Amino acid sequence: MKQALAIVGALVGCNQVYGLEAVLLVDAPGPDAAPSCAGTLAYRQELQQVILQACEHYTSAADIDRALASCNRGARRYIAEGPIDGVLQEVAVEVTAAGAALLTRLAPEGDRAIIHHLGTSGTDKFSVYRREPAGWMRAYALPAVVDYDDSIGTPSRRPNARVLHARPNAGLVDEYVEEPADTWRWLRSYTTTELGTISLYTQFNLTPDGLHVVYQGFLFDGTLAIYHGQRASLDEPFGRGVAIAGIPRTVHDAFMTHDCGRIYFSGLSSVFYARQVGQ
Amino acid sequence: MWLFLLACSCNEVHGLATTQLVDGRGIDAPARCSMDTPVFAPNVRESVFRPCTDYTFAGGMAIAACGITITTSRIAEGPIDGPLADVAIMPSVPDAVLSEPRLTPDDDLLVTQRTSSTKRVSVYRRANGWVWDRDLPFTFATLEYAGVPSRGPQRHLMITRSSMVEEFLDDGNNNWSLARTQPASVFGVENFGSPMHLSADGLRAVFSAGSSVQYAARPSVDVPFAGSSPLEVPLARDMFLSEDCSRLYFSGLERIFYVQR
Repeated sequence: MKQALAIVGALVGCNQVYGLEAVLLVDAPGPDAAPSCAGTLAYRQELQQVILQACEHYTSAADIDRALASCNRGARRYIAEGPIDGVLQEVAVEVTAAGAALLTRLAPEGDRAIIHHLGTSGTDKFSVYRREPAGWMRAYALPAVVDYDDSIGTPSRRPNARVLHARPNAGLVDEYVEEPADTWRWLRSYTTTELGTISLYTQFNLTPDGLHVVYQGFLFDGTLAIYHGQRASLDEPFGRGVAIAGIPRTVHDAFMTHDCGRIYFSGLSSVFYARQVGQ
Repeated sequence: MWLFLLACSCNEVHGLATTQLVDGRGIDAPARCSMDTPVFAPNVRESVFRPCTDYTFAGGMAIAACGITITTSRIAEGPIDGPLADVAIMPSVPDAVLSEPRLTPDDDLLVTQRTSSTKRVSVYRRANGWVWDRDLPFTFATLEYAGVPSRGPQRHLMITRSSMVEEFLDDGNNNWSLARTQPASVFGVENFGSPMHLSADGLRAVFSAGSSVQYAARPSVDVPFAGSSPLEVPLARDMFLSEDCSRLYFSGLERIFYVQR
C-alpha cells in the first residue's frame, strides 16, 4: 500500500518536475480518431518544428518515406532530401540553363519531382526531374509557357497525374493532366472567382489522390487565410476553397499529407507542421 | 530508487515526445549574460498562441500588441509564457491606435499612440489598468522606434531613426537628454529595421537590420556601443532578450516564439 501511494505521489509530481504549467495547451497522443479530409478542416494551434535547418518548400512522398526541400546556407540555395521529419542532406541536382535557384515539389511516388527555377520565365521554368543514381536529373520541361510570377504545385499520383499551375498575372490557375505518361495536356482553367480568392501569388499543392488542394488565399474583403479545396472525383473541377482553421495565415508553401492529417509549411526560416484537431 | 524511476517515466505519462517545442520552467541554463555574442539553439519554442507582436516582460508579467491588423490590435498582458488578456488602456490622443508596447524594467509601459498624421510614444502607469502619465519628449516618423529602456532611475533609451540611433538618458526625474547619436555604420549595418531594445542594465542591445538580427554589448553605459554581431536566429522585427540573456523572444506565424541558449 505504501508503495502504491509512493507511485501515485510521484506521478502527480511529474508536473512539478517538468513545470508543465507552461505546456497546458499540448496534450499527449491518445485514443484519437483517424484524420479526415471531409468537411471544414481544423488544425491544432501548437506547431511541430520539423527540421532545424533553413529550408522551405517542403514536400514529402509517404510511399518511400522521403522529403525534399529547398534550403539555404548563407546566400547559397540548394536542394536537400531525407526521411520525412528527419534531417535533410544536400543532394545532387542537374543544373540547367534556367539557373540553380530551385524550388521543389516531390511527387507522391518519390521517384520524380517538379522543380521550379526561381526568377526565370519561359518554357524551362517548370521541369520534371527524375531520381537517378547520380542525383536528380532533368527529364523534360512542362509544356506551359510561364510568366515570372507563376508557380507550380505538387502533382498528384500517377497514372493520370494532375498538377496546378498558378498564373497570377493572368488571374488563372491551369490544371494539367499527364496522359499518357510524360505527356501533359491542359485540362481546365480556374478563375479567381471560382476558387474564392483574389490573389494567386501562391502555389496550389495537390494531395496524392488529386482530390484536395491547399493554397494561400485572399478574400475580397482582404481576409488572408490558408484554404482547402476539394472535389469528389478527378473528373470534377475544384470549387471555392474554405479557410482552414488553426493554420497561421502568413505561412508559405502549405503542403497537406495524403490523409489531411498534417499540413506542413515554411516560416521563421524553418519548416513546421500542424496536426489536425483530434490527432 | 522508486521515485527516480517514476520521474524518468514522466515523459511516457505526458507523451512529451510531442511537446518538444515547449519546455517547462526550471531546468533552463542559469543566467549568463556576457560581452560575448550569445548562441541560441535552432529550435524555436512557442510562448503565446495568439497573433501578437512586440512581446516584452518584466517582473513576471508580459505585454504585447495582439490582433490581426494594427487597427484591430489590442494591448494584452499576462504571465510570461502564459495566455495574454486584453488590458484596460485608453489613448490620450483622440482616435489614436495604441501599438508597440514596451514593458520596462521599472514596470511602467511605453506605448506608441498613432493617428493618421501623428506618432508619439507615451508612458503609462499601473492604476486599475494602465493610465496615461506623460508623453516622451521626442518626435517620431513612421519608421522610427523607441526601444525598451534600461532600468531606472537613470534610464537609457535608444531611438532608431533609419540610418542612425539616438541614445537618450533620463536623469531620474523624467528629464531626458541626448547622450549620443551614432550612425548605423558604427553597428556594422546600413539601416536599422526595428526598435533597439536595451537590457535592464543597459549593457546589451538587440535589433534587426536588413536580413539579420544583431546583438551589441558594451562594458559600461558610459561608453557607446561599438559594433554588433549577427545572431543565428529567425529574422524578426521585435526581438526581446530576457534579462538573464537565456531567451530571445520574437513574433512570427501569428504567435510569440523564443529561442533558448
